[in-house]
Amino acid sequence: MKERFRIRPIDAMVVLSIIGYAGWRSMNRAPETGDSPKTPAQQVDLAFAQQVDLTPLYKTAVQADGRLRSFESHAKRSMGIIAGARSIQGQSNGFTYLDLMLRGQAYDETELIYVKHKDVRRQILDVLAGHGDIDEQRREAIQKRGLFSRKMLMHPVVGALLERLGKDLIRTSKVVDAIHFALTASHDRFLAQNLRLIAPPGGTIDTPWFSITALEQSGGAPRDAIHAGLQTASTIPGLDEQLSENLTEAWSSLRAGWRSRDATAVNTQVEKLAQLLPLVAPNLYPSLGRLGMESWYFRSKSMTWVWLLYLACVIPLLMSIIYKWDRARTAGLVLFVLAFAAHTASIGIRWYISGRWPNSNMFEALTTSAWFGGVGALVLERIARRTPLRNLFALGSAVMSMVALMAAYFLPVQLDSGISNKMAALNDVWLYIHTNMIIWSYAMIALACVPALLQLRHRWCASWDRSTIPRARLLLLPIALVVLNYTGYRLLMHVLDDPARQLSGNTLMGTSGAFWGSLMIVLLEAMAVKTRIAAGAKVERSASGGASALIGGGGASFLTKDRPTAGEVFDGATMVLVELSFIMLWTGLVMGAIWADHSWGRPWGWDPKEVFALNTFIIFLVLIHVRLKVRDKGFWTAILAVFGFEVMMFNWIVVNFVITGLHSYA
Amino acid sequence: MIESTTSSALSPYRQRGHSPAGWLLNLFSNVWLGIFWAVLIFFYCSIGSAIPAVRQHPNLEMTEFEWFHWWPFALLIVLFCTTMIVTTIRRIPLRPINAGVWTIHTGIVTLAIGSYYYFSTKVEGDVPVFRRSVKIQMPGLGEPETFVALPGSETRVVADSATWTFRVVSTNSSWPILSDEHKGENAYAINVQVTPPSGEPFIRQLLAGYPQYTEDIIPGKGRAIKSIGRKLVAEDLELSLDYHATEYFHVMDTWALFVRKVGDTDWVERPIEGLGRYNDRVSSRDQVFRDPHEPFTLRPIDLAVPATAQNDPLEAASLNITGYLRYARLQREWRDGGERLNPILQLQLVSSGARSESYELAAFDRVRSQAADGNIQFVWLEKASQRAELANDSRAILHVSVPNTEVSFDVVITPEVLGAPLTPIEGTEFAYRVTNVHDRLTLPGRDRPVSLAVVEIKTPTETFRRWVADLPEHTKDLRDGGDVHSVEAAEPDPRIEMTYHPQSAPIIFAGYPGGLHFVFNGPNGRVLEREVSPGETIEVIEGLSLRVEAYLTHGVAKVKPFIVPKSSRQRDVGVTFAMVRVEIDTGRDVQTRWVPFQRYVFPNETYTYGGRFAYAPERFRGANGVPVEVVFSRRRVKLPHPIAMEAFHLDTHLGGYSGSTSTIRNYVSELRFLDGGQWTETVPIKVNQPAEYGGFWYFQSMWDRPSASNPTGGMNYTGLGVGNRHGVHIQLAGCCLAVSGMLFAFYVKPVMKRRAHERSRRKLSESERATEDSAQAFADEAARPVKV
Repeated sequence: MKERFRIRPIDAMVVLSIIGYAGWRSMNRAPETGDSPKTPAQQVDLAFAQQVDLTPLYKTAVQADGRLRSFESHAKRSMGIIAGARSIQGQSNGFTYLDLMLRGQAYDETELIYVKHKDVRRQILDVLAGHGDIDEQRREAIQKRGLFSRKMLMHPVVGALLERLGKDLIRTSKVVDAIHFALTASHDRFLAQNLRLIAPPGGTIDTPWFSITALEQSGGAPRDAIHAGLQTASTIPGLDEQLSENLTEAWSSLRAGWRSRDATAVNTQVEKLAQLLPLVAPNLYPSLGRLGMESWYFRSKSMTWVWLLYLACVIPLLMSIIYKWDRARTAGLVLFVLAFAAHTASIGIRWYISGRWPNSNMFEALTTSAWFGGVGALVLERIARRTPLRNLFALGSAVMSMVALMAAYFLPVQLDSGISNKMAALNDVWLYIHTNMIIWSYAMIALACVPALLQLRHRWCASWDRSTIPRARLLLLPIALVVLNYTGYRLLMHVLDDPARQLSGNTLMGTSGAFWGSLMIVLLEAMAVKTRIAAGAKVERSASGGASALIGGGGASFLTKDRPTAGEVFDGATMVLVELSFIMLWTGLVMGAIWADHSWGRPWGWDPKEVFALNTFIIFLVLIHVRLKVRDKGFWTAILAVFGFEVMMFNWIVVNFVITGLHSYA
Repeated sequence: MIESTTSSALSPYRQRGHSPAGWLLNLFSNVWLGIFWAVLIFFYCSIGSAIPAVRQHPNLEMTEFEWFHWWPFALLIVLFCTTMIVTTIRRIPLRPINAGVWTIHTGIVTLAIGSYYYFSTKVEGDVPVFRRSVKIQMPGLGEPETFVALPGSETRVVADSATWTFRVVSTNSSWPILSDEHKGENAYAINVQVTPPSGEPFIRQLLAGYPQYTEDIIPGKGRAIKSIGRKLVAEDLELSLDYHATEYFHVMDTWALFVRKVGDTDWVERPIEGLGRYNDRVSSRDQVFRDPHEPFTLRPIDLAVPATAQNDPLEAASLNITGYLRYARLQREWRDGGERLNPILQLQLVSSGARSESYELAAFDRVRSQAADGNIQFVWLEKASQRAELANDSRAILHVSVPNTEVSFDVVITPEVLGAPLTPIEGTEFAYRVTNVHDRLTLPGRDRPVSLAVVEIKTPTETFRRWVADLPEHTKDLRDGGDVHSVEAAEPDPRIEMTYHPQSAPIIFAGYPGGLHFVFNGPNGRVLEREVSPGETIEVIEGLSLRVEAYLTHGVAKVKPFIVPKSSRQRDVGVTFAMVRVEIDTGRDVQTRWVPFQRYVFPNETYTYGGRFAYAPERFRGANGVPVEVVFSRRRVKLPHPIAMEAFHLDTHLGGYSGSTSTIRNYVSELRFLDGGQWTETVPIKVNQPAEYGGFWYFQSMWDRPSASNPTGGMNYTGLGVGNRHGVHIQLAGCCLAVSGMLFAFYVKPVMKRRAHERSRRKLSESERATEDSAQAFADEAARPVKV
C-alpha cells in the first residue's frame, strides 16, 4: 500500500521562505568582480594576467607565521588580510600578490582594501562624498562590496575619520587597526619581505627562511658589462654560488618580464624558480606532494563544495523515508557514502597538510563536527538497517553536513579556512579528547534536530488534516515560532551589552512587541494543546525511547507492534540521537573539567562557554524527564530537541564570538 | 524508566498526605518539581553568564564565582538534589533493572557534595617568582644586602659612610660561556653596574651557577683583566647571586590595603570586605575629572578597613575607603596663576593620514621640555630680546681647530659628510673623517644627555678615533688595544681640538614675558618664524600642522583621577587601573589620597621592572606624625614553602610534529621549594603539567617574553597560578558514576528488559514454538510505508 506524498502548506512555507531568504541575500550580495577593464592598458594587463601561468610556483614553500605553506596558501592568506575573501579584478590570489609586490603603484586606485564593518564603510564613503571625491554609483558599489582603494583610505579626511574611530576601543578600534594592517600588508616591500621562499642552507627547522628580496640584495644588479664588479657575494650564508647566481638571474628576469608584461618570459622564469628553490636546502624543503596537495586544497575552496554532494543525497533519502522506496534508499545511501567519502578526504587532506587533527579553529571545528556526525550516522544506519528508523540518521547527517559546509562555503570571511599553529595550552591529550567529544556531541544534537523537525512537520500536517486547530491559526503558528526565535535572539544580543548589536528606539520597540506577541501566540497554542489532551483527545503513540526502541523487549518496542506510526519512527530516531548526545556531552564536559583542572588549576570556572554547555545538558536532562511525565511524548521531545539544538548553537556561535571567555581561542 | 514503576508506587504515598511532613514528602517526590528546579537553574546560569550586567549591578557587585556561590544558587542545587533523592527513594524501586537511574542520581549527588567541599575550601591566586637576587658583601657593611635581579633595579648601599650604587643594567638568559672547561654551555648572566663612592663606574658580570666566572667590565675598555690585569676592579666588593625566595601569593578577586612605617620592609595587611569592583563609588563630583558626555552617578561609600594584625602601624588611626574607581588614571590639569614661574605648553600635532598626537611640555623640566623624539623643544627666555639668540638652523656642526695655526673651521654634518673618505686638513699633517654622530645619549651615571660625534683622525704616526662630545670634558680618544675586545680611552690629543654642536630641535617654542615665539629651522637655516598665541594652528610643512592648545606661564597642577570613558578602556585588563580613595583619621587630622591598585605587594621599587609591575605606595602621616605608606592590592596568603626559580626555558615541541607543519612551544619553570631550611631538588612546571608541593598546586601561567629587539633578554621571572583543589576526586567519582549510570540506563536496561520479555514469552509458548524469524519480521516492518 503506497501512500501518495503531498506537498503540504508547511512545506511550501519552508521552501518559499528559504528561496526568499536566499534571493534577498543574493540581491544584497556584492558582485564578485569589479568593473570590467576599459582602457587599453587595462586590456594589456588582463591579457597578461590570463597568459601568466603560476602553477609551478604554487607548489613552492613559503615560511610564514611559523610554518611552511605553499605559495598558493600564503598568497590566499595575505590577500585575505588585504582584500577579505574578495577577488581583485578577477585575478588569482597568487597573481595579485606578485603584481601588487612588483607593480605596487599600479594599484593605488584599485579597489583593494577590504573594510569588514559596514557602518565604517558608510562613514568613510560619507566623508569622501562630502569632499566630492566619489560618485553615487561607485559609492553604492563600494558599500556593497567593501573594497576601498588605497588612495581613498589615504585621503586626509579619511585619515582624520579613522583616527577618531580608532579611539573608540569598544566599537571601531579593531576595525581601524585592521584597515591599517591591511594597508601595511598591501605595501610592496611588506609583501616582498614576507615572501620567504628561500630555505636557509645548513639551518634547522627553527631557522628563519630568507625572503626573495635577499636575492636582490645579494646580486640584484644585472650581470652584464656595465654592472661588472658590483657586489655579487650572496647575503645568504652557505648558499652555493652557482645556485645563487641562477636563482638571482631567474628572479631578476622574472621581475623584469613581469614589469614589461612579457608573459612568456615570466612563465619560463617561474618554472625555473620552482625547480631551483627546492635545491637550496633539500633537507629542509617539505615534500612536493604535500605542497601540491596544499595548493590544490586551497584552490578548491578547502573542498567546501562537498555540500553539493550532500544536497544531492538529501532528496533520495527523503523519498526513501516517505515512500519506503528501496531504490531511493540505495541511491540516497550511495550518494551519502560518496559525499561522506569526499568529506573524509577533505578532513584527511587538511590533517596531512597541517600535521595535526583539524580541530583548532571555528572552520575546523564545524567541518570536523559535521564529519563526526557522518561517522555516527553510518554506524547507526548499520545498526538500524532493518528497522523503520533507517535512513533518518543518514538524512540528519546529510542535512547537518550540508548546512555546515554551506556556511563554510558562503562565509569564508567569518569561517577562515587558513591553517595556523596551535597554542601550547591546547597541546594536551585530555583536551584533544574533550574537544572532539564535545563537537561530536554537538553533531549528534544537530542530527537529532532533523527527525525532531520532521516530527513537528508531521504533527502540523496531522492537525491540518483533522482540523483540530483552525487552519488560520495553524498557518500562523510556524510564523510566530520563527518570529519568536528571531526577535528573542535580537533582544538577547541587545541585552548582552554588545554595542555593535544594540537596537535603537523604534527597532527596539518593534522587536520587543513582536517578541511578546509571538510568545503569546505560542503560549496560547500550547495551552490549547494541553486543554485538548486533558479533554481526552487522542494522543499519538511515541517510541519507548531511543536505544530501547532499537533493542526492544518487554513490549516496549514499537518494532514488535504491527504498524509503527510516522510519529513513533521520528520519535525513536530523535531519542537514539538524544541519548547519545546526552552521554557524549556529559562525558565531554567531564573531560574538559579534567583538562582544566590540570591546566589552569580549576576544573570548573563558571566560564560562559562551560555554563552554556551545562545549560545545553540541562535542556536534555529536562527532555528526558519530561518524557516520563507528559502524555504526548513525541511532541515534547521534538520541541525540546530543537530547543536544545538552539542552545547548543548559541553556545557555539554567540558565546564564542560575542561573549568571549577563556575558551575564545577554541 | 520511572514511569513503569510509578503506578505501583503511587498508592502508598498518597495515603500519607495528611500530615504536613507527609505533604512535604509528597511534594518532593514529584518529577515535575525536579524539572522545575532544573529550569530555574538553567535561567540562573544563563543570566549569570550571558548578562553580566545583572551580577555587576551596583547592588550585587558579584564576580562569576560569587554569583555561582550565592545562597540562591546553593539553595536551588539543594532543592534539586533533595527532590531527586526523595523521588528516587520513594518512586524508583531499588532493583537491578533500575540500577542505571540510581547510579546517575547517586553520581549527581556525589558531584554536588564534592563540589560543595571543593568550592568552600577553594583558595586560588597567583604569584610572580623572580629568578635571582644579587647579594652584596663588602668591608664596612654589617649584614649582606640583597636586591632582586631585574633589569633596571637599583639599590644604594652605605658602607663606611660612603654610598655605593648598584644597578642591574641587563640580563641575558643564554650567555655562552667561552672558558674551556664549560665551553658550549649557556648561563643566565646578570650585569650589575657598580658606581663606587669615588672612581669610575664599572660593570660586574655574574653568571648563575658559575661564580668562578664573575668578572668586571670597564665601560669603553672591555674586560678588566685585559686593561688592568686583574679580573675584578674592586676586589673587596663581593657580589653573588642567590635564589629569590617568594613567600606569599595573592588571592584572586580580593581587596586589601597594606600599611607600613616608611623605612620598614614588611607590610601589614588590612583586608577589605564589601568593596565592589564593577561600579565607581564617588561621593562628590569635585573628587574626579570625567568626560562630561559620559553618564555619571554619585554613589557614596564609606567603608571602614579595620586593623586585624597586632603590629599595625596605624592601629590608633581609623582608616576608611571613601571612593572607588574601576578604571581611572591620575591626571594633571593645569591652571594659570601660580606664584612661581612655571611655563607650560600644550600642543597637538596633526599630520594627514596619521593619527594626531598631543604633547605637554614644561620648560623647566629636563625631560618634559622636549617632545616628539626631540623634534620639538620648549624653552623659556628671560627677556623678549633673547628671541634673536635662538638657534638659526637645526644643523649638527663639528668645529675643528688646530692650535698654533690659522686652521679653524666648521663642518656641517650631512649624510654626505658621514660617508666621505678621509679629508686632509690643509696646512697641517692631520686628516679626519666623521664616521657617525649620536645625539642626546643618556649615559649611566650622567644626569644630562650627551651628544657625540665619532671622528677618525689620522696623524703622521697613527690613526685613532675621537669621541667628540658637546661637553668638552667628555671628549676622549680611543685606540684599539691588543685584541678586538679591548679599546683604550685616553684624554684627547692636544694637537688637534674639536667640539661638537648637536643638531638642535627643528621646532622651537620660546616663551618669554608677554608672548610665545615659534621657530622652525630646516637643515639649511630658518624656514619659519613667528609669534603664536593659544588656539592658533601653524602649518609647519604641507600636511603637518601644530596647534597650540594652551600656554601658561605660571602653571599650577591639580591632580585628580580622570574616569576613563567606557569606550576608551582597554578590554580584559580587569582592575589593573582601579584606585581607592583612602581616608585616614589620626584624631588630629584627616588625610585623603587616591591610592592606585597594584597587583602584587613588593617590599620596594626595585621590583617594578621597567613599569611591568606597579609599585605605587601613597604616603600619609600616622598618629604621631610618623610617615606611613599605604598600598592598595589583593589579599595575600603565606605559602607553606617559599618558592624560588632555578631556571626558565622554552621547549620547542617537535614530538609528532615536523618543522614543515607546526611547532608548539612549551614554557618550563624549574622551581625549588624551601623545606626545612633546605632548597629541594628542582621541580619542573610546564603548561598542562602542574606540580603539587605542601598542599598547593602550581601552574605555569605567565612568562617574561624577551622583546623582539633583545632576544636574549627577558625570562627574569615566571608567573605561576597557585591553588588548592580539595574534593576534585569526589567530583570525578560522581561524574564517572553518572556516566556509567547513563550507559546502563540507555543501553543495558533495554537488553535486560528484552531478555526478561523473551524468557516470559518462551514460557508462554513452550508448546507452540515461535516460528517467526525476528529478522524477517524486522525486514517486513521496514518495507511498510509510513504515513507522513
